[in-house]
Amino acid sequence: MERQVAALKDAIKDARQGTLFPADAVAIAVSEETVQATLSEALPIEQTVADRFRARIERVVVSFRAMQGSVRLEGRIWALAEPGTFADLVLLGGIQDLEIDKETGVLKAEIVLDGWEPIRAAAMGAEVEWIKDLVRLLGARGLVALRDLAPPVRIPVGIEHGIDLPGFSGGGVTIPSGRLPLDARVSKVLPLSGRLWALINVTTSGWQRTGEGAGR
Amino acid sequence: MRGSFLGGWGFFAVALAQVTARAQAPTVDPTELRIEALRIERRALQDELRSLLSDDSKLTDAPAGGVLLGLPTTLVESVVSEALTGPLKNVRLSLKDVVKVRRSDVIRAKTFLGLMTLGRYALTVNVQEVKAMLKPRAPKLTFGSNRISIDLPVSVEAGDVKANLVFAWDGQKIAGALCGDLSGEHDLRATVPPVQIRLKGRFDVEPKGERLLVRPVIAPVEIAFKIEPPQQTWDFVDDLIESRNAVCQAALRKAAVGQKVRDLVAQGFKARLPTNWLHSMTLPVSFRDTVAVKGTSAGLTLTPTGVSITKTRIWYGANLVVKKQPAPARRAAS
Repeated sequence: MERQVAALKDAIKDARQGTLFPADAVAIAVSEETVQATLSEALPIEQTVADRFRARIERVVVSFRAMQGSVRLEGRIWALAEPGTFADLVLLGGIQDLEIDKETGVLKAEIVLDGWEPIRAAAMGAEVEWIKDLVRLLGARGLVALRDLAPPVRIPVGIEHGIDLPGFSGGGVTIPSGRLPLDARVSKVLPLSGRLWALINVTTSGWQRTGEGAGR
Repeated sequence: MRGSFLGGWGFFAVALAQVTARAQAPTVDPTELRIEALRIERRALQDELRSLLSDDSKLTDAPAGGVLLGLPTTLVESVVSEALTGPLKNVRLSLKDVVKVRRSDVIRAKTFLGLMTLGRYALTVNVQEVKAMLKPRAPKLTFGSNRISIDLPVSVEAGDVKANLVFAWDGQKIAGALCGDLSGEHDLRATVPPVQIRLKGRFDVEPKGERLLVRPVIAPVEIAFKIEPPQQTWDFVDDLIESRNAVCQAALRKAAVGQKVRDLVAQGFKARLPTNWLHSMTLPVSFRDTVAVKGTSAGLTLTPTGVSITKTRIWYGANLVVKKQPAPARRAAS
């Protein structure tokens, strides 16, 4: 909540300066439901962890509110040798490093885990409260081990690297074919009002001739 | 690091000791009071931020949809302007068999016998070829009402004309008796002064699947060329007249045939500029119909929810739903 308050203060400062939502940036807004549905397609994710354990993520919940993009992954980790020793976990993280894939132009991001919370825990089939505390204590070491359980974020929106303009020849006019190259960079990410906003600066170096005029 | 994770059953004993130690340490969690204060502050900040948000970020006038693309009009203006003016820079216009202008008239003159018909002339200007350069200026685009209106000034410069002049004189009565019939042809090469034209029309913005298409609709343009013929053009008429006897010359000069020819040529001619060279183009931000899932590509069903063009943005909204795949393998790569 402290991070939310700090982020909101920064956003208010930007909004007052007119830089929060630049009018000349491409705005892409994706709802929580869409991101959640796309991430859910990657689930369940099940992996062996540290040779002796197995972890499985079953459910994801995302939230884009009050300048915080948070992701909640729910699943279980259990001992391979003793499935009765397990912990049902909630992995908490945020969406970071939103960028445009250089090859495909698709918006992509990573879920970075920054905390976890045990919901249930049992040792050899017996649920005991202190085991939950025990799992909490794994802290950062456990997060590192579990980071591969976070599915990659892929937003089904693409930014083109350029616009091809075919040539023309006919009726007394000959126009060569050309290309308008575009350079796009994510300038700002705003988790706001239930949507993840990506603000993208797109610039062009101008039309470039690529060939002679062509008949239609 | 992974190797140290949950290192075995001995781990539980160690961890239990840590739990005990933790229980004795002072709490670092915020108190309920602090949490409540933060909650109140957050609510106030959210309200303040909401009041500062622009119409764009409030999605005023944007369509509904799980995914929204908002292209700023400044970007669309820049892209469309470049797409229009870039290819047109120094494009050579070469029109063939452009137009044939014909003018004929009866020449009358006051003589000592009264008003007499001297004859009939016919002049044909056959414009065989026009060459010029198109130089577009900055277009003016206006956004709204789900279309972009366009007004593109273009300068048609450095033009020259190849034409053929055919002059025929059918002398009548005294002039006929004196001059007989007279005809001649002359090939004309003339420069064309720069002409300013305006391409006017609109770009319709239409969704086409996952993309937004900008389709130009430009009204046909007529270019009104003026001709600046060299002096020898008039020499041609004069020579034709001077080839006759003195009385005939006097009659034709009285009828100001030469001036009439000049007047006709000075009227210039009109040629139609083709506008079908303007192609539709797709805007550079689009939905994708697939998404990478577990190393493969999953198809998406796209349901457009609408397009709206405001003064600041073109919005395209859609709902995207992952198509149901055959039951996935339950095991992922470790």
